[in-house]
Amino acid sequence: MSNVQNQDLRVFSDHSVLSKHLFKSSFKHHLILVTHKNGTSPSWLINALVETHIFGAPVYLNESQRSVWDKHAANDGEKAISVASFYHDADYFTSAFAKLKLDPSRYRVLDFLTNFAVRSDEKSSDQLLQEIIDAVGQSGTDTVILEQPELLMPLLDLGSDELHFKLISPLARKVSLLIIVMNTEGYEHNDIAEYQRRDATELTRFAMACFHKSTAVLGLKPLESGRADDVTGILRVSRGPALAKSFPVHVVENEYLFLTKKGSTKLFYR
Amino acid sequence: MSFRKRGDVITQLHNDRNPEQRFSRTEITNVRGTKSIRTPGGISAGTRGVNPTLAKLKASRNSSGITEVIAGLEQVSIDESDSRTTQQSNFHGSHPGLRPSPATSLPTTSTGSADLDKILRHMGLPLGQSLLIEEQTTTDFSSVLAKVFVAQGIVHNRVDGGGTQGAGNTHVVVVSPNQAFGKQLPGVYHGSTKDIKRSKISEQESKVTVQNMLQQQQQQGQRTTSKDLKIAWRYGLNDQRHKSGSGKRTESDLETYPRYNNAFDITSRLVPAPTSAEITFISPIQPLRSFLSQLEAVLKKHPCKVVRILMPNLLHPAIYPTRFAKLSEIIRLLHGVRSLVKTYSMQTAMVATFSCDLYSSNRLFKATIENLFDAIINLEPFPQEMLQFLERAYKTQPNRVQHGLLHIERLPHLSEYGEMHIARSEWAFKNGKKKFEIEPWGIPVDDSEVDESKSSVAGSEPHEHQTTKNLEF
Repeated sequence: MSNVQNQDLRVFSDHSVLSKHLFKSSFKHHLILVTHKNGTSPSWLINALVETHIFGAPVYLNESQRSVWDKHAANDGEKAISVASFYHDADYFTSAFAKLKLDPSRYRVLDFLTNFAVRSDEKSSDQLLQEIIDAVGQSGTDTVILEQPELLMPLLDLGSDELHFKLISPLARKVSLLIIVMNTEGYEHNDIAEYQRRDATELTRFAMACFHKSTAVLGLKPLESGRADDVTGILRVSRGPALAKSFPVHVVENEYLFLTKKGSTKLFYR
Repeated sequence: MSFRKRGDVITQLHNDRNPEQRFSRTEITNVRGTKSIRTPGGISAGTRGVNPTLAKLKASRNSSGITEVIAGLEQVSIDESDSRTTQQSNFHGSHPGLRPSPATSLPTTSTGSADLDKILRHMGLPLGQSLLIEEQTTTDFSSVLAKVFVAQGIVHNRVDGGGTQGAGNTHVVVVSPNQAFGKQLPGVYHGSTKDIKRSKISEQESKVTVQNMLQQQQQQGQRTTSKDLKIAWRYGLNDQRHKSGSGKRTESDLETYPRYNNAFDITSRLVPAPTSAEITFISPIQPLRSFLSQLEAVLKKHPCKVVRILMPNLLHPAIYPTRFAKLSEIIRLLHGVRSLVKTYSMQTAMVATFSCDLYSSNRLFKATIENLFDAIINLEPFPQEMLQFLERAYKTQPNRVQHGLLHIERLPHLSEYGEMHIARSEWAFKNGKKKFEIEPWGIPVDDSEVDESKSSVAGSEPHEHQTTKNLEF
């Protein structure tokens, strides 16, 4: 695999990962869904998306853009990106972003792991969700990455519809782009007994509803053939059902192989 | 900068501000020293990336009603984090049960099983990480790993003579109402009866007596002659060299970290049994808030100790009431524990054991639970037929019979940062008297089957392919 030429990540037809059209007010708000499995953690993809928001391109992922990238050309006046996680603490992201030398004034990290279970015991779910919306969707932020919001369903004992109605939809209306990162391990099965449980049904319904609201879907999964030394997994870029035909750019559907080793990730065409 | 000086600087900075600013300020420093914003609901946000305008907005909004509580929190958290960081950096260097991970250099502690330590790629479990040991079928191999994890902590605690009275370097928390667990821990393996006799003899020989001195002189004379005779035995010498080469790393590890891990004899008991100063039992069957506050109180009580948290038999119906079979109950519990493990990441390591068979039909339920752990291994004991086959194949070496497969689903830290480490059917485990061994899995050749097949082939085609003739002399 080392002899194969690396490929750049492209999601939209204007050769971008996050197209500028997504942030234009004339178009509606957008949602991008990132799914992953146990063996393929999306940390590098989250880093790439944050980089794209700040630098205009994932410069550490896309080698060709790294060489022509002008640090000073990065648009300073643009709004910040918020990364809110129900799974990782703030330290996890801040240390990763510090390694990438991202300008700390351009991102915000919100930690909804620390002490959240205790708070969920003290306050009503409505209060907590409102606090999350207020904290995440502050003015000055136009992009929000929400990591594993599906955990809120068991944590606050909510159904899929409630979570969409009280958190996802209001948040999506507040910002131009909402990126939802979900762990979809265990979703692919045909066991009917599973669906007799309310928990399982609601989790699946939540994922499906996110999918239907999405403009693009980035799916990470390990190789079906098992572990390989030169491939970590597959990144599939596909068009989301909510992408309007009138939208000036379209999603370039593609499948990449990727290799993550010692903190760096490389993409290859499949 | 010393702790006191730093504290002085912070106090000075606070005094320089006017009282209004001081009370409306919402920036606090969390446990690991990163700045964060505390929102009215207590939601904290890292401010390394918050621009000043956003921070001002947040501060002005927070100034309604709850600012006094926040100001109190601010003072406490800065002092606490400073003192905790200083204390932790002090005890990490001198702790006999900690070593840097060869993969990430993070402080790592032994699980009590040397082979499991190697499998995890860090020579142990890094602090601030959680490991889930799943087990299929109705066997109970995971309890062996759970017990050695606890026993290793107790042995570390007693290394410097601390131990039972409260002083020491390690504390263990067992999330279970079963207080008898402490009395079931395995004792340290001191070697076979032959080894014990040998060590006694060498102890006797090491004493300085006239008889011992004479014997040593005689032995030295014999060794020089035997060395001269062995010169021709090249292969033997080469073998010795190979042996010393392969054992180099473990020997150097033993020299650098001599008390890092021990072998445990599962047929013996740890004596004396751990006291309440060494082990704390917290029952999970209580309101979540009181459970988490009890756990946090233990962590706060031992700021200069490694705290090992064990959750044995997670969701076992004999321990957990039926309400825990609901995802909302168990996820809240695990999310709370995960939060504490990450908050006190420089002093905790957690292991949980879980029997998958009880929830085998609910894959999504199981996957959601697994999601909250940093590392996952799965034990799949062999069925009876496979064990019989292995016993036949290893007829002459019964010690080589493995008991099951060990699948790796996630590894601490490495999987979290995007590396793929799923390894199914690559490792096999066997549980012996002195250790839980993990080795690469390969299906052995059953010689009896080969012989049978040969004889059957020979029996079915008796003379057709015979090319030799008996000669008469």
